[in-house]
Amino acid sequence: MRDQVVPRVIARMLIPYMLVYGFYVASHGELGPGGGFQAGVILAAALILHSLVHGLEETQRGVPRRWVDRTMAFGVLLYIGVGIHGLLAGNAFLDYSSLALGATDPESIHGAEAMGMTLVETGVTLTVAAVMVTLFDKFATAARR
Amino acid sequence: MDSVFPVDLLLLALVVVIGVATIRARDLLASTLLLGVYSLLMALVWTNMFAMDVAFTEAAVGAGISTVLLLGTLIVVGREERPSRGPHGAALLVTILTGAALLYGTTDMPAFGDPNAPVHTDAVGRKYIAQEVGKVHPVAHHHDDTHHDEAHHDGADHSADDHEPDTSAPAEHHGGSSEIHGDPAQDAHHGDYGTHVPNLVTAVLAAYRGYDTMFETAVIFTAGVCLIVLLRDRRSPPKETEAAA
Repeated sequence: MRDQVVPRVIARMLIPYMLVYGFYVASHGELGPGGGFQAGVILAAALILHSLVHGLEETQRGVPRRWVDRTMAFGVLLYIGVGIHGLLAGNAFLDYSSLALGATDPESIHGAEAMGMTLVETGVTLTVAAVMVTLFDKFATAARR
Repeated sequence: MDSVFPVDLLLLALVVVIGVATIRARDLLASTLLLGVYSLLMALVWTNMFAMDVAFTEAAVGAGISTVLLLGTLIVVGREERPSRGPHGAALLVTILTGAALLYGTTDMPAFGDPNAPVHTDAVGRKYIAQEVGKVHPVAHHHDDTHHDEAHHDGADHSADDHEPDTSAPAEHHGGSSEIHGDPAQDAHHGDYGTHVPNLVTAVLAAYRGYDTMFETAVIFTAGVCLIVLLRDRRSPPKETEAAA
């Protein structure tokens, strides 16, 4: 599709907005609709659109496959890490109030809980985005053979 | 009958038409695109039911990623469906029976938007909203701590303490343990993490059902790992063995 002007121009216009919107959904999941899963899908859609228009190799030059694989694992580790941080702080697993780091006023506690959710959702975002990109990557590679 | 009802009726009729058309279409590319339309229509139906998160997911996953992945599959398996010999009698019967059972099940559900629905009146639903389930130290307990540690706090925290007791004082009496205080009016003050997390869906998914979401993420991760292992480039292993040898 590299020699077709219209898809290329449309993709070039859309991809930045898709990325920004993905990050917006990821970071505002606790305020409005959306969350980690949707944000991950939107981010992955931006990368998939890029590889549809410019080809898989071009996308992988910017986002190497091994970094996608690492992101996949890092997302889960981030989620579990927040949980284990709760354990190490002497609370329950995934008790986000431990992220207040000793502060005990309710404002800090609530803020820490919101922060914990944001971190956890970020983990979901990264894993989902990486898996979706991998899914497309593998299908596209399989189709080419 | 509210004013949204005709819109819903139209949307659901379209959903049925699209669903039938998806099955009838022999061209798999047409089927895939019709499925995308189906998802978008369902997203509109969810929006009409104020289920924004569900609508969002339906639009992003159902109409977005699924379509792209199905298109990727079509490249592999080809575009034309094999001709089939009419509807399968037993399968049709099972489908109709399952659908009838599901419809029968909905008769037991509370009316849409019913304020007396169990989700609003049940104790578990209130605990969901209070977001105090499963915490070793509920927020009310930390109020106790602020009084013990008051010597360490500076003036700014005192002013916070000054207006806190009117909301927290009743909770301290029966909220010091890990027990949940059941008074919904009391819960409202602690709900939504002090207005940091107004979206209840996210709050429930990330906090009350944090374990579920964690293992869902783990499942997605496992699926990704399986993909890499199953569909890896078969041309590379010989190179590795050559390098090893």
